[in-house]
Amino acid sequence: MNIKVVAEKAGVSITTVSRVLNMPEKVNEKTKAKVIAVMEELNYTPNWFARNLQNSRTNLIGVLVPDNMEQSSMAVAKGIEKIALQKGSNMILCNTGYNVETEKEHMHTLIDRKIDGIVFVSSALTETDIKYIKDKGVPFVFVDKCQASKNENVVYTNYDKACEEVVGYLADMGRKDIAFLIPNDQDSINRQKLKGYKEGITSSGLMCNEGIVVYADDSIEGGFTAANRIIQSEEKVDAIFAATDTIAFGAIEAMHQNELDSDRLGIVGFGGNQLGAIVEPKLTTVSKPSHRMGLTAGRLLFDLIDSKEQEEPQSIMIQSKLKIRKSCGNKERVLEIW
Amino acid sequence: MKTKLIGMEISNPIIIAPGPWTRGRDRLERALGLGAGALFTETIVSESYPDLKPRYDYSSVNCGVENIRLYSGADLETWIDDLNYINDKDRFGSDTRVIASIMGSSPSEAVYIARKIVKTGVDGIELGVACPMGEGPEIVAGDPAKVYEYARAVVEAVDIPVSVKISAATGNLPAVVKACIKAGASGISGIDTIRCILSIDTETGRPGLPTYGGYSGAPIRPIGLSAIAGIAQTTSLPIAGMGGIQTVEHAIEYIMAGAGAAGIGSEILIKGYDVVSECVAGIDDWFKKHDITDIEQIRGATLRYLKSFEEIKDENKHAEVKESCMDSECAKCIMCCLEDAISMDGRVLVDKSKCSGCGLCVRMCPEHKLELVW
Repeated sequence: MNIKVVAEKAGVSITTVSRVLNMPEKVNEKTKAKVIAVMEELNYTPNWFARNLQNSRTNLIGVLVPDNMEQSSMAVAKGIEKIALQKGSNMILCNTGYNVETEKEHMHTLIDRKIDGIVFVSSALTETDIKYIKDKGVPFVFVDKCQASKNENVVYTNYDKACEEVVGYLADMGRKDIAFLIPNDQDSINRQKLKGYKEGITSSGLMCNEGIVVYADDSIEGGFTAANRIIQSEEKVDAIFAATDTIAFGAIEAMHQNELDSDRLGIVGFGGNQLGAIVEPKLTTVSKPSHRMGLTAGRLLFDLIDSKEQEEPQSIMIQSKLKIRKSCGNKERVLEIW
Repeated sequence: MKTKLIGMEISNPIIIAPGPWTRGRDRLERALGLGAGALFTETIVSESYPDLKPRYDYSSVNCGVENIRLYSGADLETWIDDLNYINDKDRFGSDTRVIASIMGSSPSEAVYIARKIVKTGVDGIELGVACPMGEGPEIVAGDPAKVYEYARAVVEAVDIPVSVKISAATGNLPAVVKACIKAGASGISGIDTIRCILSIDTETGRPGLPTYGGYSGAPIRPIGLSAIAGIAQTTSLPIAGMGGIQTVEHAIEYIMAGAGAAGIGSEILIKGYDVVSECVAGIDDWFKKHDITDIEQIRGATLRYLKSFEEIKDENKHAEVKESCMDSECAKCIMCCLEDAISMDGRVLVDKSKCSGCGLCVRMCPEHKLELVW
């Protein structure tokens, strides 16, 4: 069974059948319906392998995330997959563990497998590493700004401005000593968050000039330990800003165990983990538009895969949103809803 | 009657405002068949939102509508397919122009959506910078610098006309309009819905819908008219006026306030699509009846009557009964007079020495039997 038989039976040209398979949007609805009906009648399925060789496509894309146990990574991947599926492609999800060597290894393997394109999420790659994929002509998109994303296609959110806004908000509430709990990995996102925190401290005119930066593992345990240490130390702290929601959950537990409340210790997270809406007190956090970032990155990647001509790299910002709930000490219900 | 809409000529000043009535192939096809000069799509965003149930409240008293829809329930890919579809079908022979209404959380996101949508062959882009509920790009609408940034980015990215949608809920409308002009916008549209709680059940205290919503329909028309007049006094760019238009007369009001085109929206929800075709035919009749051959003869006619307070002459007027009234049951004029200047003695009497000339009784009288005289 081949395409010629289908064309003859449907009374259309081979080109038309080919278009139905490859560019259905370009085919007149009536013709398309007729060709598909014939295909169904003849039980015809395209020979994908031959087809892929011809189109030099594998209909596979790679998505590299730091840690797919993380909700944000999963949301990004889910957004990308939604677009991939619409484009008749599947997605290979790889974890880099924030390790640049692992990331490079994944990149090389994927390119060897003739992948159609790659999305790098929170990448640790350098410009030199990127040269390899560029030379191979494989389209790629970054999610999150990083060292290598300059002058490349990137979808990002404003980590620094968002963190600055959180500090400003806490300062406006009358918090004076705001500690920042952040993982000790100096990856690009953490650097941006730290920068925003410090700018917030400066622009709010708070006393602690460099701020109070405390390292914490990105886990509930890590957040608990770090927050507990702060609470039991001599240091005066009336608010904890956690660089991730996971750390914030640990900090809330420490707050409870030390019999404090959000009046005495305000807590704010970052990420928008849905558990934040049910913990007690409900977590005030920066809602990161991860799924939309994934959708946009997926679209951008397939734009590159599908396009013939080279376009200017795009840098697309998806705005995050400060989601005010209770854990920061907020008493004004209107701020949660307005 | 031809008129101008953001950098293009359209066949009729009646247009269709953005909303769920212009989402999806069937509704787009239907909207294209009504003879409107243009249709604006529902606001296209990069991530679809679920349609909440319920999402509308309606007041039978004043025909106001509250909605808590968050932009479009269709995703970007579906929009592209649907817009390609209607364009492939040659828009079913309709000469209604298609304007895609879009919104992004940042200028770069709006640019991305605009570029994608432009490829479908739409005639223009309407850039939303305000939405009173949900996750709209907050504060943008009232900040001229931010409006400029958004509008400039989109204008530079596409080669079709761009209109910026203005919110009436901004205290500095002229500055926002100027930012749009500076950014190179080809037109201005407005108004967006206004944040509201439409109703409260006085037995339970429950609001009609469980969060703040966007107000549209008849009650926002006066607010829309003032915004359109303000825009028209600021710029000569074509204006698409919308907000509470139910009839031909309402559309004419918008045109007299300065709009080149008048959009029907919520009234389609209430009365169905036919209200558009009725207004399309009706406005041509209105023009004929009034001997208008060019819309410019009446467009902005109201503006010359708008004055600053210091220019309004303080004339020594008082109310007088124009036509004798003996309806003792009505008494609207008596009830509304703070000066106690009106009384009923077999017939309505005005005490000139007490009347302060406020004019309310004249407006209140259902029979128009009172007038202000010098």
